[in-house]
Amino acid sequence: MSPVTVAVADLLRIAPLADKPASEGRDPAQVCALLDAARAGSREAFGDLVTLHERAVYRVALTALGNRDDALDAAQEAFVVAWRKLAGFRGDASFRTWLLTIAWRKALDHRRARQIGWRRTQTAVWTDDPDPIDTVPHGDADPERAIVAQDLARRVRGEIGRLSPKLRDALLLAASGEYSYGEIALMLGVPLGTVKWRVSEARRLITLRMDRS
Amino acid sequence: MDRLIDDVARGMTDVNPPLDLRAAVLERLDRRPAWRLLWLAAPVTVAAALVLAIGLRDEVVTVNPPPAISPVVQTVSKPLVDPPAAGVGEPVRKATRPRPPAVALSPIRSLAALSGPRALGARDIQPDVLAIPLLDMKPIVTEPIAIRTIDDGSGRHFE
Repeated sequence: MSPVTVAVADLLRIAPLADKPASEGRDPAQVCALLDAARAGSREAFGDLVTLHERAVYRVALTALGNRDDALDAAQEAFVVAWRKLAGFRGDASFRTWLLTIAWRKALDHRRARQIGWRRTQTAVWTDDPDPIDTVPHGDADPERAIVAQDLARRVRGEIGRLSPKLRDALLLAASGEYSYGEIALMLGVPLGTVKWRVSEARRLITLRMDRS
Repeated sequence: MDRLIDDVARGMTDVNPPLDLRAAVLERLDRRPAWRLLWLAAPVTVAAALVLAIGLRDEVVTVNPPPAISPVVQTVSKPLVDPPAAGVGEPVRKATRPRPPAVALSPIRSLAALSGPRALGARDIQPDVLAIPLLDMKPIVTEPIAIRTIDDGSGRHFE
């Protein structure tokens, strides 16, 4: 890793990626109790399940759509579908994985629908990029280094946006730290090795393009 | 570099959902989706269209009934009797063969009819030779009418 990268990483205060999110595996007792109550028709219990998983579901939708409004709509639809299909949930996978798979499919539906309109309106994806001013770390003693880091981050963001959807999805989901590779594989419907390869290929392409530019 | 990429990627989706997501979801649970209404409306529309189409079709059939089969009237141009001698201007008679009355076939008779035609046992018709005697016309004899002479005294004669 180059000294510049190390400096930028320090500036951005990068936290190490979690090897394995804590959410993988069987549902905890709290979720099981809420599931039983929700299956019995308790909307309050389902509301608690929404509260428990809303961040994960919303980030899945945001990964696929890159737009907060669309992601919110897709997340809501995913929860509604989950409520209607709750009786069919057999518990083969965890409730969280099942819910995330629904959310991913709903988000893909939105993305396909939007792509049809996108060809007409030529609206860019990832319109919710934060303002560059907001990305400057506060309290930094060296404004010049902060500007360099900000420019580097902007270029990386641009390269991520130029990736193919398959590579970008895998990279964003893996880098979020919210989901394990196993969950990503189930969501995307591809083998675990494919997910790992896509993440690696996405990083390689971005690095290659950054070096060229 | 990989850590930088991962951090930037994480920042692209590191957004908390709106606070009212739970309330919005619970509110949408009661909302009937529009596509369900479409699924309900579509069969009803199709059924109504079918009923309408069948009704219109019956009406068209009633208004324009198929052409009725006209009764068969077979005109026999051949005179039933031999024409008289030449010169006699007797008009040619036309005969109309009456149609046999329609008899509904019983099922048994229908089955018998299916078994094949039966041989006709009718004897050959031997028509008698027509011998029409010639008309014997007597000559008309007229007697002369006697007219007396009228004398009016003027010297002229009137007959």
